[in-house]
Amino acid sequence: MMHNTSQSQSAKEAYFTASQHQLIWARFKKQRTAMIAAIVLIVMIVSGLMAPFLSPYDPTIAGRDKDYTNGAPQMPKFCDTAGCAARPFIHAVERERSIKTNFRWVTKTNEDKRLYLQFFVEGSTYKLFGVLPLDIHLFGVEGGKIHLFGTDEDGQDIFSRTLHAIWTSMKVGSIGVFIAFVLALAIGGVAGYYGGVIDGVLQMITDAVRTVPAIPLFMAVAAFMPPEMTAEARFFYISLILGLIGWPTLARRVRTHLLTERNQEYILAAQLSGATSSHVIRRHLLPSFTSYIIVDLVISFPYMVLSETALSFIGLGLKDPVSSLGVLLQKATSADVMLNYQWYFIPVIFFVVLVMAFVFVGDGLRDAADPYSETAS
Amino acid sequence: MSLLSVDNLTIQFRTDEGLITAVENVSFDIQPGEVLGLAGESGSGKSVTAKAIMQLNGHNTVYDPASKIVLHGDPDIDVFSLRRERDMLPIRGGAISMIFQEPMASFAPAISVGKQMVEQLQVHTTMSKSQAKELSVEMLDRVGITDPGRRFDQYVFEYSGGMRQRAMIAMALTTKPRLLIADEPTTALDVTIQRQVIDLMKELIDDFGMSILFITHDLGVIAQTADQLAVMYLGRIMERGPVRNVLRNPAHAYTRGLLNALPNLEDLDAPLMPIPGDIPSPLERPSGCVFHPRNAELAPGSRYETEVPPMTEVGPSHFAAVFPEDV
Amino acid sequence: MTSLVSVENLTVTFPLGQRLFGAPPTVRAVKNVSLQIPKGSFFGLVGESGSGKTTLGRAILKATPIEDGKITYDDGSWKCSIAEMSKAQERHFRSQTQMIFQDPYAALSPRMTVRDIIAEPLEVLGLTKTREETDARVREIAGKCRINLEHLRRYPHAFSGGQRQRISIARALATGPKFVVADECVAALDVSIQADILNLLKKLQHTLDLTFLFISHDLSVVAHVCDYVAVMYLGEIVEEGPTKQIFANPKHSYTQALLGAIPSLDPDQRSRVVR
Repeated sequence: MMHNTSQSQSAKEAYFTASQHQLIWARFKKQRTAMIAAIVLIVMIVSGLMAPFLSPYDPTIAGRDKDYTNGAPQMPKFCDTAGCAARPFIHAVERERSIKTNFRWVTKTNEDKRLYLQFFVEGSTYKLFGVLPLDIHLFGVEGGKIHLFGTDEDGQDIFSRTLHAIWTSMKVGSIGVFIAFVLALAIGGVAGYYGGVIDGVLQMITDAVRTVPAIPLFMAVAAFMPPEMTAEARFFYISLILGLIGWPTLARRVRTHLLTERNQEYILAAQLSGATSSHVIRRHLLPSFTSYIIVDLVISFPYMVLSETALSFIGLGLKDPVSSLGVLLQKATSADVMLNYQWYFIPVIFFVVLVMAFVFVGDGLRDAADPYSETAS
Repeated sequence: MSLLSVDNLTIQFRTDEGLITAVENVSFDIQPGEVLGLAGESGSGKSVTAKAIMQLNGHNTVYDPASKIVLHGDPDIDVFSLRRERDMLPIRGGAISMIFQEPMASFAPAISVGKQMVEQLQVHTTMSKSQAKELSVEMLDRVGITDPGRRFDQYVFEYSGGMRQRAMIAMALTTKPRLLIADEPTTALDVTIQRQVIDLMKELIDDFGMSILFITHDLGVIAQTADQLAVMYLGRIMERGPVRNVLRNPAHAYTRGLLNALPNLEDLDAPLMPIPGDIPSPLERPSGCVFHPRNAELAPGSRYETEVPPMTEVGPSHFAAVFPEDV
Repeated sequence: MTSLVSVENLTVTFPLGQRLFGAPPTVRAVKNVSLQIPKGSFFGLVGESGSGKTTLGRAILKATPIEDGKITYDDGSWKCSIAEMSKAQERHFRSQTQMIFQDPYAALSPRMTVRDIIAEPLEVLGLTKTREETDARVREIAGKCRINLEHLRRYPHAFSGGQRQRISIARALATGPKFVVADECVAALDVSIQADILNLLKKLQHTLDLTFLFISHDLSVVAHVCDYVAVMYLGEIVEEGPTKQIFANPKHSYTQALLGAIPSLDPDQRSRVVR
């Protein structure tokens, strides 16, 4: 007789009644790298989303600290030469200029004055999620300013700028991916579903768009964009163009998938039961590539972020005062910075982590989705 | 002295769902010049057994340390003792050749058939390129491919289904192997082509004197080609013996069930008799005799449910996995 | 003997490859074929690869465009010419005819539960009004196909080849059709399971009064289950008639070659049908 405990029986039943999405999620959970990357990704996205709340100061010129330009990072500590405290604090900084310093501003830390870290402080106003007007920030100090990652040459807090930059890059990436996705679905979908001459023509268009080189295109666009254009408009156009040249790869995948799927026998079975094209598309074809689409979206995201960063880095994309990772990276390129103000590179770490997190999650999803493709044997 | 002896072969695979047993305690011998048919349905482990002889199973394969496969000769070669890929070379394609079910997948699509045959000869023999070409063309002719000189330079997609299979047989035989392993060679062919390939193989056995391990699910094909027949189910051998004896006097319930399930052309009105139940999933191997859940002849609570029956002699050289009292 | 399906001078061609300009070369898969499928029969269509048998089966169900010829469906109370059906007629036709496929793994959508798979034809054709009615019908037909009712919640990946084929059969019979094309539906199954499915089909034929067009390359299977057989070779029917007659006395050389090629289970006999 076969021996089945009731526990293994219910586990088996769960496996048998699991939908494809549940199976993919179960497989995904088993991959440790992907799960860790997913957690990191979520943390970063949330920090970007809550950037105005999490950053102590406004990232633009309005929030700059005139007294502490090109300032080194200030890490809160619990103990100093005078003893230890329960609450974390930093030392105050003072700037002085006198004949002794040749009339140059010199910043000094005052080891005797402690500024204690406070939470939920009132500060500059902002709109959370763009709607909710608030002025509470997660942390700050009384009687001074705290700069966890230091400041740049204008005194803008790099920590605040980094958090806002993550969010800006995510926004640009999202819009770009969304536009690319909608176009890819429409064009790839029509080409794959109808095949024949329509497919041939659409393929030619897809290939043509794919060969457009990004950098010369952006140089041309930068040349035509009027300098008085607002940051938001610039931002919108960059995203739009990234999407418009990013759809061919995804479209090709959608088309290939549809071309194979529509010849599957279960599609024919549905048609022989009288199903209309829209039923077949809705009930069979679209669900068949949801998992592929999600994987493709997650994997395309870092490319969009990379593209925007690269463009902003070489000056063709977003510019100051907008915070984006590319803009921040661009500030780090002068020799002066590289020698003296190394903390300008801290956003680089965030950027690398963000892209790697996307890539690991995308890879994990793809590995999880693959075994459950249509022809299991 | 047998050509190949397989003793207590046990093969398991590491999968996400756990360790699954594909082959359990399989033992058989092949004599020189003999054709052994290995018959079984899906999940029987026949292909895995064949691939084990050539060490072609994947990296997640776990061979039991008690398993032994020995190719007898001068010297004897213990297949499991060969650690490096290079040591397998004289066996793979040399002393032992293998042909597969899907010949299209077995030939490289972008290299001409002739070139592949010559390459094989250059690996296993000391022939020059022109000698190898001459022998290859001769083999293509021998297997019944017309205009072999022209066909030598063609690609496999230019061949028809039956021709591809013949070409694969030709390629397998150029190195004059002592053992040919044929894994479902006729399953993908139309029945008229299958007939031709079976006839061809019988001729070649007479000419070349090699042994064949013929794996298939089709008992009719085995009846026509094999001298000995071993029936496998779920990784174990259920019955083994001379082909006439096993087919005419099946001693194991599974063999009987298999024969009864086949359409009987003498009596077209007789009902078809399926074997009740389904082949269990590899994760749910039955205890005792692996066939017992589907054996309608057994009374409930019989020995077969808990104990594995030994291979008992039921006739001259004819063995079956039954307890001696049931013979 | 009334014919349920009447095929007259049917020709079906396929384009080879695609061209952007001009018509590509074509191959004639079915050449001028005429056939009568009697009502209530289990009609076998036998041939090897390239014979056109699958194409003929699909043409009858209007799954493939016809180049020339006429196919008529007449169940006694409803009649139509398949090539010239109106939309409304086609809807009725689809509820009366169905197909069972060869590959049990490709024929079921992996994303739908068994219940949904079987219910789909009912929902598409709007044959049931409420969900309860659909569920009742699904349970009824699943029972007839010996599908465990608990398994209706499961997805196809939980089942073996034979079980999936039974789900395919249940789906085909859900709308209560009168004509079913079984396209190599046991070819991918193990021998011990084949017999099970064939017995099921014969039983369903009697209880539900069905007409089957059984396409197969396996003559021994056809010999056992079919009343009539038509043998196809390279797009043409070379011989047809009652099964027993064809097997006892094949007239065409191809039929003889086909029968002679079946290997015998007796090692001392070359082929199963001794000539």
